[in-house]
Amino acid sequence: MVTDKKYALVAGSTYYYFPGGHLFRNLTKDLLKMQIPSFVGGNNAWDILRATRSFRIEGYWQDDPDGEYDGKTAFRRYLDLMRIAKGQKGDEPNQTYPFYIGNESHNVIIQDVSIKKQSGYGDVIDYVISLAVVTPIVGG
Amino acid sequence: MNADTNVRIVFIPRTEELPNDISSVDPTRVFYFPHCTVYREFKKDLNLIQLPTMTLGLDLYMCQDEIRVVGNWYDDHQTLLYDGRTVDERVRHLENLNVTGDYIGYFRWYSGSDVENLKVKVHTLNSDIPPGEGGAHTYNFQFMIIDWTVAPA
Repeated sequence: MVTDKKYALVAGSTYYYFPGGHLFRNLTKDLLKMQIPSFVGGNNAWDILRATRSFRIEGYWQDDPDGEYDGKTAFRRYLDLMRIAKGQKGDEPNQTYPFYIGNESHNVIIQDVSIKKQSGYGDVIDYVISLAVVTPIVGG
Repeated sequence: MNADTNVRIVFIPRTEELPNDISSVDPTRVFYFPHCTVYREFKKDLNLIQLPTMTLGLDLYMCQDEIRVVGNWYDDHQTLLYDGRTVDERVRHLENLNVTGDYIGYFRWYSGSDVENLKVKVHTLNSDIPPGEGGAHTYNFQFMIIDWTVAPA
């Protein structure tokens, strides 16, 4: 099992680690250049209203019987993460959670979760998880 | 060969509740997916909108949640491990149940000591039944999750 606690999503006191996961970052601006007609000045302007930032983690979880990370099976970890992604009864389903990349942290919302697993008892779950970053851009 | 009953769907008329004892359900409405692969797709149509004043807005309107089951079905009319049906009968029963919206599917997925229970509606049923007798009959079924807070049966 890969031992790597570099990436962690924290919900309450529960840490979700992604050992060996690939981290993809994405910043997309819905950027449009607008030019005012010359007869009213001909100035240029930029539409910078919308911006999307996200992290995507791809990897696989395994059971952790030795308690190196959380002591859970991969399936139990998936069930717990889905409860957070969808919101438990009475909880705010879209609240933000800290996501740590080493010592750096961002507030994120779980945007997409895709998993794949064989039906029965097995210790590998492939995952692709997207996190929308809602931390304000400092100095932006 | 041991039966793999980890993944199962039971279809119940939407006006009724899932009984505690599954054996009381019409057996043509119970489906097992031995040795299948399960895919879960949860997707929020989430857009972060950042105004020039650094105010953040979130578009959280749409959400999609599906489960997909992929694998092979075999005839069971001789082995009697699961439902005693041929694949042809099983596929026909599954399709007939879901042509109308009268049934809710209760999806149960065991893994070790944990279980996930979901209420689902059929989204897409794809199966490839080769000509002749026997052999693997591949399927790829997609179910839309309509309730994930289902008590275990």
